[in-house]
Amino acid sequence: MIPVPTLHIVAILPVLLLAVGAFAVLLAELFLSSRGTGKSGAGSVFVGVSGATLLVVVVIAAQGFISAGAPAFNPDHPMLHLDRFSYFAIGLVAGAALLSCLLANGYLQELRIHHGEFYALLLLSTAGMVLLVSAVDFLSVFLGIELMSIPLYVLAGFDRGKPRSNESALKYFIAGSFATALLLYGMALVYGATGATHFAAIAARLDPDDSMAMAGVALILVGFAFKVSSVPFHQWTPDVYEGAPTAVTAFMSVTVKVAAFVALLRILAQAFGSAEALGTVLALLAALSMLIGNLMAIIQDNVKRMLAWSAIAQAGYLLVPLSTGTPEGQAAVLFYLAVYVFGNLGAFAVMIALTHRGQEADRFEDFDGLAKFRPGLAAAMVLFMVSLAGIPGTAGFMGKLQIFFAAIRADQLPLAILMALTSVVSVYYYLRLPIAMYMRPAREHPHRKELDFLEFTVLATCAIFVLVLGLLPNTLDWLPVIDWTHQSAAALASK
Amino acid sequence: MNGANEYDLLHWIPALPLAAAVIHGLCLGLWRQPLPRIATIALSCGATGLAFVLSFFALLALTELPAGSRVLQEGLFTWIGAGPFSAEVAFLLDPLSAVMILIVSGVGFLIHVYSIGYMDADAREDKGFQRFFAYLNLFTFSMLVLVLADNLLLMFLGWEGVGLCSYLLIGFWYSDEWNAYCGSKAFIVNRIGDFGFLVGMFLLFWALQDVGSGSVAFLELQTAFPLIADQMVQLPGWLGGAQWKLATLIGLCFFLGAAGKSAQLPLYVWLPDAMAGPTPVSALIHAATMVTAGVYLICRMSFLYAAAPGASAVIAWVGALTALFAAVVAIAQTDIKKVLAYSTVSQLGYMFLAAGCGAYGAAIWHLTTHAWFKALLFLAAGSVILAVHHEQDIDKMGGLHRFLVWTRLTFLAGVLAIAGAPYFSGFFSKDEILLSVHLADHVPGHAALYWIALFTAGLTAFYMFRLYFRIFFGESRMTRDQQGSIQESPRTVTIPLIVLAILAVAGGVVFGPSEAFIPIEDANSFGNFVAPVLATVHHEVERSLEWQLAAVATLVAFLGAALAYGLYVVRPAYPAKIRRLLGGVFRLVEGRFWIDELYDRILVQPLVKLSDRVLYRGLDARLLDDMVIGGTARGIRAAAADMLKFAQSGLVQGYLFLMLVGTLAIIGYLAF
Amino acid sequence: MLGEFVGILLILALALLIAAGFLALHRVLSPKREFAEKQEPFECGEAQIASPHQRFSVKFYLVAMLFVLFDVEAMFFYPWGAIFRDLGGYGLAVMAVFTVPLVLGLIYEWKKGALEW
Repeated sequence: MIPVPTLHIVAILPVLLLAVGAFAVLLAELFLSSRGTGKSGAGSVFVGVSGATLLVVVVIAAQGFISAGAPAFNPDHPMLHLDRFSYFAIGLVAGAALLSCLLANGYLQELRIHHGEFYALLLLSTAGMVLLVSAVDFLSVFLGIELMSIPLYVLAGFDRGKPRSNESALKYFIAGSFATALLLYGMALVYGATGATHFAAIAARLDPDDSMAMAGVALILVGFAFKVSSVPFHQWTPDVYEGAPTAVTAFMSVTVKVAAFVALLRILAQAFGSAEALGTVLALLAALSMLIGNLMAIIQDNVKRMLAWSAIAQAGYLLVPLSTGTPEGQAAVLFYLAVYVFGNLGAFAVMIALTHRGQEADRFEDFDGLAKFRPGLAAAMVLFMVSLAGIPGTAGFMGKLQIFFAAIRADQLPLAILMALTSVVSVYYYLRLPIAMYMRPAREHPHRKELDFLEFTVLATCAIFVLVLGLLPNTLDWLPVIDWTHQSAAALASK
Repeated sequence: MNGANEYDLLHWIPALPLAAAVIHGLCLGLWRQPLPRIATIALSCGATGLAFVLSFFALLALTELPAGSRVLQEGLFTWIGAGPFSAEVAFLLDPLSAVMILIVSGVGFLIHVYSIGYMDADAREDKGFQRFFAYLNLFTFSMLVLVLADNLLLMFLGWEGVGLCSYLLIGFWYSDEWNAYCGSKAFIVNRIGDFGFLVGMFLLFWALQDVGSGSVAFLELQTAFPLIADQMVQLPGWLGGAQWKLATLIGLCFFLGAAGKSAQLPLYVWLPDAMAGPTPVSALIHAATMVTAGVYLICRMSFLYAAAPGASAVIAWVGALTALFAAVVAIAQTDIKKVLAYSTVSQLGYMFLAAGCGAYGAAIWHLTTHAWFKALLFLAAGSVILAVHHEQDIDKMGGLHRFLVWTRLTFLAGVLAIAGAPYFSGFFSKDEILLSVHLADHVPGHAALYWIALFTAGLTAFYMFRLYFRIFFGESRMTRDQQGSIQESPRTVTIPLIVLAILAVAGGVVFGPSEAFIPIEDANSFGNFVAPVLATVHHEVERSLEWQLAAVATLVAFLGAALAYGLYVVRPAYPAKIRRLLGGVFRLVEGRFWIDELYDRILVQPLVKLSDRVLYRGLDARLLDDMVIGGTARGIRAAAADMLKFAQSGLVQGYLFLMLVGTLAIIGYLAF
Repeated sequence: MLGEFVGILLILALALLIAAGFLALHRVLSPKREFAEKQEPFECGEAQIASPHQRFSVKFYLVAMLFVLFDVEAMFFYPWGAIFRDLGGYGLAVMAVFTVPLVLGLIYEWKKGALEW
């Protein structure tokens, strides 16, 4: 008799659900679209199924966080570990995916590429992220990262008729495979040096003076630096962000960042704790990303490219607390990720809401005088930009405050100062949209499409969260986000 | 709240303007229908007016308390409560903030009323009358939060909020590229200062946390500060590695913030450009309230500066030099609002000079009188601008006293006040500053500071009277058509002018004359009222010295005014001759010493060039294209041309190359 | 650690050296006489009648990929089949998790017309 491993269905329930949802959407696509009936009916089924699935995952994550149980997939040889830390990340990723899903419906119809595959791929990618954020073994890390990335390569090229979209997909794929190969090589080297793939075992055996092991550590770091688009592994970002359909850019710009940063946090804390030189490397990457990201964003003439360089700069800000390795730093990373999700998704949501008849609104001129025609939309965009720039009263400031705080506490004063100075520079380009919207004369405006209900919901949600995280980050009894981040960071330390 | 008195009406003072702004926002954003003109006016002016009434009641409640413990507080909720760092949303009313809220809501209310008339054209042509009032209310809210905040973090919220509103209002007449540029410039320069504010706040917090009482609330900071007052810190190696007094370091950080907000050297460049906004905005934000926030911050933290003589000396010297520099520049400007802007910078320099010499009471007193007379001058200038159809060049005015009777009289009141004519409001505050500088023997070079301040007083009188004579006297330099259409501004414009003129003339005598000049029982009531909050350096003052200094200052101011009269009324041909005589020197002053151009050349341009030429074109495209594609892949390109169909630009190789270099570098660092 | 690999490194270097050496010798020693026929792909046979670089239908790739997919599936069935009794219900369930998505994939490609030529 072969020993049968015990299964904790609870531990893989989110992944299972997402996979089932993805297949359900695929089947729905088959049987609804082929009849040639109205696409809008099929569309609501797609959005309904995938949205419901993601909502259930969010609820599971919330429930899991509250009950704080920590089931592991196969306790004898754990691959996944669902503690508060992973539940926080799962909730964030699934929530962001849910919002992207709601945004996609109207957008895909405007571009006439409304296929069910979009939602299936989105769900599968989310499943990969869920695996990634709860992985405690390099095998499951790799599984998660591939399941996350491959659907994204396809999604980037989802607008098949557009050469730019194709180019974006291909570039993402080539550069991504390269990074994955490096990552895998790194895992192999670490395995060679320590004989283990499980985080705890690696932590016990990792020797910081062993060149082979440290080369592996370096390669793994590079793999993740690519995913979070940190300089010098960032160059794919502007091309891919610009070429991919905006709904895809919105989705991947936030979720990949959350998943990759969370996984990196766990790996650094639980597997590579003894490699202290990593802190220096991370600090250097942070400095480079902040500098180059912010400087390059200034000269962009396309809003999506600008947001891509801003994403690189934001990755730099996130690397600052990551490099400290303190619980305060980890909590700051989590908080800033939440901030980033809502601010960035909101900005893309405005762009999506302005997309009309296959025409994307991604140049600065497209926003000229928008305040006159769509005052509400313009005001929302100002809010998101102001949050990304980190002006007090918004989530962005609260996030930067936490980072600043953690950095100064950990004696990273130079990094903190660099961060403050580069965010001064960032104000310049974040304000370009408000200037265009409020201070330039309106041109002939093609954007006459009214907001649909789903878009309004997403915009309102993002705006409310940006304000709540900025003004009441820990005040509401049922939404003490800062407490949550600290509890999650504590879960990380207790393993 | 520990032991202090609760006063639960406090939050209504900022909440009323906020509510008005939110209602305006909802109308414009969701309903998409501007409110009728009269409703807009009622809502905005009503909210600010009520805030003023409430502020007055709060002041009464405050004065009922015994003089030593005049503190009212109201906590609303915990803003950040996790970890060691916590901050409340709570308000603090003490004599210092009481003075400030009265200025903000009082002068603010007058300017709201004034705007009804001034922005009338925008109301009729639907160019955003309501939007303007929404911003104005939002500004009032932010400014009230700034001064009422009970901790540094909440103050920073207001601090940034006023910056944002200032940005929105400078760029209000939006179809103007230049206005948008000016707005951005103001915002970005301010952010540089804000960075100092933040670093100072964190340094202070951590230093106190290390001795067990970390906090950002002012009252707790004040109690706990003596624990670290004498602490020394080792600067990190890249900053020189010297031993510094911690208080000095923190003080300089906060002063950087204050210098950004209050337009001191070298961060003053944004304020003159900020004049691109509508005139009521210049009066409210860039003269009476927002720009004085820096002075308020220094006074609020006076307990810290009292222990940081180094930082105080820097403040005094920067203030004095700014005062002198801006006054010199103001002499050669011909734009009516630019003259007033540089005059504001100069007067703010006076306030910092006083604060740096430890005379915080004098700084706040000058802040108050300045709010009256400078708001008055701006509003009167606005009235002139309105009358001559948005012409701002004083070379194209002249002889307006026949048409604009009320405007001219009120303007004259403002000029006399700022020049320090005896018993006008500016006289008392300026003399107090001169006196305290004269006595401040703990500040290095205080004698020189005194002479600078005195000389500046003369310059001030000169350029203000020059402005006055150029506008209202002499031959009219306008065409006959233009002259025919000039008429006095509407009553909503003139009434605020008259109220402010009364304050500028009599406010000094009523609220806080020095005993030396009016020997009554409760003389200097203003100074005595705010004194308990401030860590003022006290000196024994001889009454005769006070008289002597006042006499000298008045004489100097009179000389300046007389010179202006001689040059611009008696011998109007002389200025041009002098200009020719001075040649290059004059052009230097007229061109504002080309500081803006210098900043552009050495800061802005290099940054843009670095991004554009080096990072973008160099590193991104050319370098990789030439080095990598050109070097290793050119052969492949020729042989396998259709392979490159896929990667249109061929840059993917470049991306991978850079990744590889980065990877090797990291491996090299970590593994070997 | 790295010391163990020195031998391999030496062999690698030696091999490279020998290969490069022979290529260089060939370059130096061989006589070069070039004429048109010598440049033909088939130096001593038929004249070329068509370019070998033809484009052919993308469907070949599609079918090839689908084949690989299901071929791998079959490969997994073998070991499972060998011990399928020992694994019991658990094995059946796990195999179902593996197979059902593949079957769904088959249905999908079928309905989408990927198998039609």
